[in-house]
Amino acid sequence: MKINLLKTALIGALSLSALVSTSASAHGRWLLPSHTSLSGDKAHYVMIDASISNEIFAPDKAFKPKEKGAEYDDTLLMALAPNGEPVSETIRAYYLKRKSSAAVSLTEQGTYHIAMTQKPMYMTFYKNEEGKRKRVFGKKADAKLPSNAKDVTTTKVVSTVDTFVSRNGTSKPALLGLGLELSGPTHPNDLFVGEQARFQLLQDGKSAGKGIEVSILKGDTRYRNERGEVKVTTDKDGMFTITWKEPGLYLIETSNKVKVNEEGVDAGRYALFTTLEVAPE
Amino acid sequence: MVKFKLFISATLLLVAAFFQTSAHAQTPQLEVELTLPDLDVQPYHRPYVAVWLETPERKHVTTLALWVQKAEWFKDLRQWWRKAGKSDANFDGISGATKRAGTYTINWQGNDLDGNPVKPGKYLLNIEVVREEGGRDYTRVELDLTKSGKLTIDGKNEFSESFVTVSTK
Repeated sequence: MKINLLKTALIGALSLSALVSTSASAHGRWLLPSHTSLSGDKAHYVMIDASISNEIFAPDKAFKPKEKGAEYDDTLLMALAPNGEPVSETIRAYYLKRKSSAAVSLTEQGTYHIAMTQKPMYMTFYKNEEGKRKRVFGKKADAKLPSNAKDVTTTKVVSTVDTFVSRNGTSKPALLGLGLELSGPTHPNDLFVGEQARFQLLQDGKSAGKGIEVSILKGDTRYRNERGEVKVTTDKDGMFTITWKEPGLYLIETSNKVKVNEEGVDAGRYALFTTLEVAPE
Repeated sequence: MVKFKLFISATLLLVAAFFQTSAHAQTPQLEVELTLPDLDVQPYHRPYVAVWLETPERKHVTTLALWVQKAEWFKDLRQWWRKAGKSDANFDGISGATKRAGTYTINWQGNDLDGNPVKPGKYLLNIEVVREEGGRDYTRVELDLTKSGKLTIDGKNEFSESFVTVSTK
């Protein structure tokens, strides 16, 4: 009996630590474009699926529309046209239980940077009466906390979930300028097996700096036994390189902790989920 | 920058022409004998084909042949599209309709798409063949346009044994 209790306690401790680490790294989230390279005279549509899932590019949970029960979410996605301006047309993402789907119209020549609209999210962590770690949304001033909450900290989270699509040629992709994102020298729509790609990780439009781990994961994880993630680390200029071994869709994932100068905010965490397509040679 | 380089090479050529009025500078020529195999498949769509030259640094120099139908599928000639197709170059002079199975001879007289001579040297010859509901073959071989010679190249499925002949005169 005592042994059993000990076991339970151990399992409890394990699952708690699992919870904590999950909350630190969050779930995979991604955009899945129907095309990343298009040619032809007519304007094109590209379909973008968005989902929260750890089985990469197999949808699991849709992003909930703003108003619960709404069939679509007009604020889920944005696209920066080759000229750097957001496209004026509303991008309507339909809520389909496990994913959201949107058609984005491409009329200009060059590269579109398609991303989820970024709203900083505030999460407040605390320990309750029993010393258990809890989490609520909102800053500590706004969050509903029990009166005896201890170790209360608020983290600001900004996630960038994005991809790139080029029509009739490539152009330097417009930067979001907020949060984490990838920049050249390699163009995100010019990736081929056997070639080395070199990217710079940016934080708020500037080099994110040295020592940030970036995970590179090929999609279709459902169909293999090992995830086969490749991890690289940024150099002093925020640069990292990867030589593509297999064609396919990849999810580039990274996060960065930063200091935030906001009242009532103790920490900042930025996350990035970028979908890239690699062509066979 | 590109224009500046072009201007320089044009000037050099002009100077060369001035000093060698009778003796022509070497003009490389190419003959590509390309065989599209007779595939017993249903449905069969005629393949899109691109043959082009690149510098050893993989910069597009000129396209020798482009057999295509709809611009919508140009992107499927992945390598040609990234290196040449998506640029502003005009391919009208070398493009034509897709072709049925057979052996075709592509002759190149040594000029780029603007009619300027390509200087002798080392280049990469690229052949890309892609077929709707079929496969894709892509081959890249090094060529020395200063030396006459004949090369045999072989695709996997979408083109068969083919020959490349370089002649200088």
